[in-house]
Amino acid sequence: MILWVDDDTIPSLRAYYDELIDAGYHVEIARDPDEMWDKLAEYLDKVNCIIMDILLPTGNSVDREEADMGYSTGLVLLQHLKNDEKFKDIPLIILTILNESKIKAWAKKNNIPFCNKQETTSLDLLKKLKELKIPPDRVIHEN
Amino acid sequence: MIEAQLVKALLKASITSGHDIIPILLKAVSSVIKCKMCSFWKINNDTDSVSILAREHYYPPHHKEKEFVHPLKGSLIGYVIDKMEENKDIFFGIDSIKNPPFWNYYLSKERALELNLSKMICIPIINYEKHQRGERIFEAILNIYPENEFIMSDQIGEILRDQFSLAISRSRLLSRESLTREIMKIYESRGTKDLSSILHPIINRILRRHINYEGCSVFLWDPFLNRLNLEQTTGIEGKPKKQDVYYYLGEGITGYIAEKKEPILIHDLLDIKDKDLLEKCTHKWTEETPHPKRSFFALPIMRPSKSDELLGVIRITNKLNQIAPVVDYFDKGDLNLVKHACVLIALFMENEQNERIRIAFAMQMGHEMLTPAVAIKGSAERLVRMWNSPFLPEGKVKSYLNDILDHAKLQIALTRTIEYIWKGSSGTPISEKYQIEACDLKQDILIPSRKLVIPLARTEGLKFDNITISGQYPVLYVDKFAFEQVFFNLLTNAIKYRELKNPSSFQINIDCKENNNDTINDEKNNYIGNLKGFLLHIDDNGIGINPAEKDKIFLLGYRRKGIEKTNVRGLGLGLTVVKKILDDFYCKIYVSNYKKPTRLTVFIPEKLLNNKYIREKEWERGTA
Repeated sequence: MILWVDDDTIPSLRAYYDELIDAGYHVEIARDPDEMWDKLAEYLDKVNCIIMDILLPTGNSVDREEADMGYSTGLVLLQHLKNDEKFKDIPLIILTILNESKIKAWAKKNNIPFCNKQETTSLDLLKKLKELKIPPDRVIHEN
Repeated sequence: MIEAQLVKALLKASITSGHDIIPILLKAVSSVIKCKMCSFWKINNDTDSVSILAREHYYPPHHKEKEFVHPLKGSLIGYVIDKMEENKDIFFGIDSIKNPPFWNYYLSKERALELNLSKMICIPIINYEKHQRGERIFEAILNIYPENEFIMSDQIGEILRDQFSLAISRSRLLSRESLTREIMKIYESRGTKDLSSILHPIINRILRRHINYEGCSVFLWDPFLNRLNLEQTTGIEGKPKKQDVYYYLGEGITGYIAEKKEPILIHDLLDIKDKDLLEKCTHKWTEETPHPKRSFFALPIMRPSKSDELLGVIRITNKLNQIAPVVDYFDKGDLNLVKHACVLIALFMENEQNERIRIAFAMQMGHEMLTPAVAIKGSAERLVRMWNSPFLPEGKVKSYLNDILDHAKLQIALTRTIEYIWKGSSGTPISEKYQIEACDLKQDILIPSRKLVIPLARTEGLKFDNITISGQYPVLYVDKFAFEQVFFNLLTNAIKYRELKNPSSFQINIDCKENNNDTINDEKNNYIGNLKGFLLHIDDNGIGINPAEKDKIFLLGYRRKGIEKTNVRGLGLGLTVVKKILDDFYCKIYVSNYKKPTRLTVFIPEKLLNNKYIREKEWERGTA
């Protein structure tokens, strides 16, 4: 299962979402950090990848100052995940509309694939999952 | 004759000196009048204290604080001033300071014995400007301990009084002029330096030359975080990180000043009698000062372009005596000088704040505009790739096409919002910004506005039917698209700020009725006016509005405190555009209820019921 942390509306994410569903992935969307932690608690054993947006509301579990008032909530969450024994081995992907060099540099330093929504197509995202060897949750038979 | 010598010496000294004129004049006095010692003290009428400004022939060690600053009460200077206020004499002569009652008041007995001081002449110096207005206020005193053979006269007294009085006035003017010149020099040579770099020499060097103080900090108002952030300081105790030092409105003395927009002068921090003030003085952060904190003042810095808007706060701790590192008291003159400096500093601050708002706006705008564009691109890319694919379900094509259409409409509406903001600030005359035509407020404006928010409502899982329109609606002569923007933004706001935990409670009601000169009050019962026209209420069951923010919500880029915790997106532009357009059309918008329901009321004046107003001179005016 892919846990996707993004507060954009479904129509905005539809292209990516449908691509993943059609490829056999089960996708759960969390719209803020609080929802992310709830879903991780519920689905921990099933989550085999987390896709993270950067520009996110802080909710109640992320410090506003640390997250620069929401401008880098995703980075804070990723750091927490990497530092937590329970979650540190879950593969991570950044998928964001931001194209800032400091985020790219952070991603590179932490060995997390960086995907920018302006350039990354839904097919590119699928390819990235395959590169990370994230298996779909069901097999799709193409006739 | 001594009078002629004195005049010559004093005139020569005053021509050659800069703004440290007093010590130079005192030197001139002691060169003509043979004396064991002479001193010039400034009287602080706010604190009833005196501070030494200059002295000749005696230089006490700095630890003898009374030689530099002491209260008037109980001192010989205080005794003399009281006596001089009763009579109109030019000077007060004492044959021997060791005689009663003078010796009882003499604070530096050790010095008197050491220097064998006996005869003393005190010449109180009148405030020159106030004297011109017929007021007799002493602002300084010249004390001379002459050799015994010296004979004082009224004429000598008058010469000394007038010259020193003029010198003090001149010193004040020169100080202001010099301060202005130095700050403007910094401004002109600023290049690409940021505000913090510009403020550093001003508070560490320039301002300190005119008022010697131990600690100073400048805070800049952040309209996005709704707080005062530290911009520059001479040093904060504990050496915290700059980004950790801030105050919210009303917090501590700094936040209190920002809220009231009034200066505060505290003579002695150790002796505050007002309980409220004492509570507020529990600073989170204080300036680093070598001496314990005593004297303090703080000023709000107001925006030059809008004098009732706060830009920041400056606070200064521990004035030092001019000739020794002894803690002294601030007076209104110091406050006025810093106020003058703040008018100039505000030029930098306003520029910096505008730049930060512009950058934040551009960043947010970039993101908000990109999101629908990326969604359109994503949906279109999938369609192009899978158009002929047998695996693409039929229903999906319609879904993708609807998404493309909805996001395109949303992007157009957002772009229009930007367009109206740009038009609002471009200086274009109002008459050129709008196309006026007859529009039914309900059929031509409200109903299309409601349609525009369909995609937003749908994606948020809300029932479009829960946006209802009722009441009596007039035909108005306005710009249809501008008014559509108004209600598009009002509805979008109501959707965004709904109760997320209870989606089924979502409801927006729009109602309109005629107002026949009835008194209109806002939620706090503040009078708006007795106006003829229509009142349109937009009610929603959302998260409500904080009463403290009721006017701020219309500011450009303003986002409510804590809103980053939720998933409310936005530029913080919508209500600014709404207010701008409504202002242009002589309408008013205000919060008439804060919660349950949240009610925004729009007053539409009767003059919009026909198009005569577009022929009036006022319509040709530029933007406000």
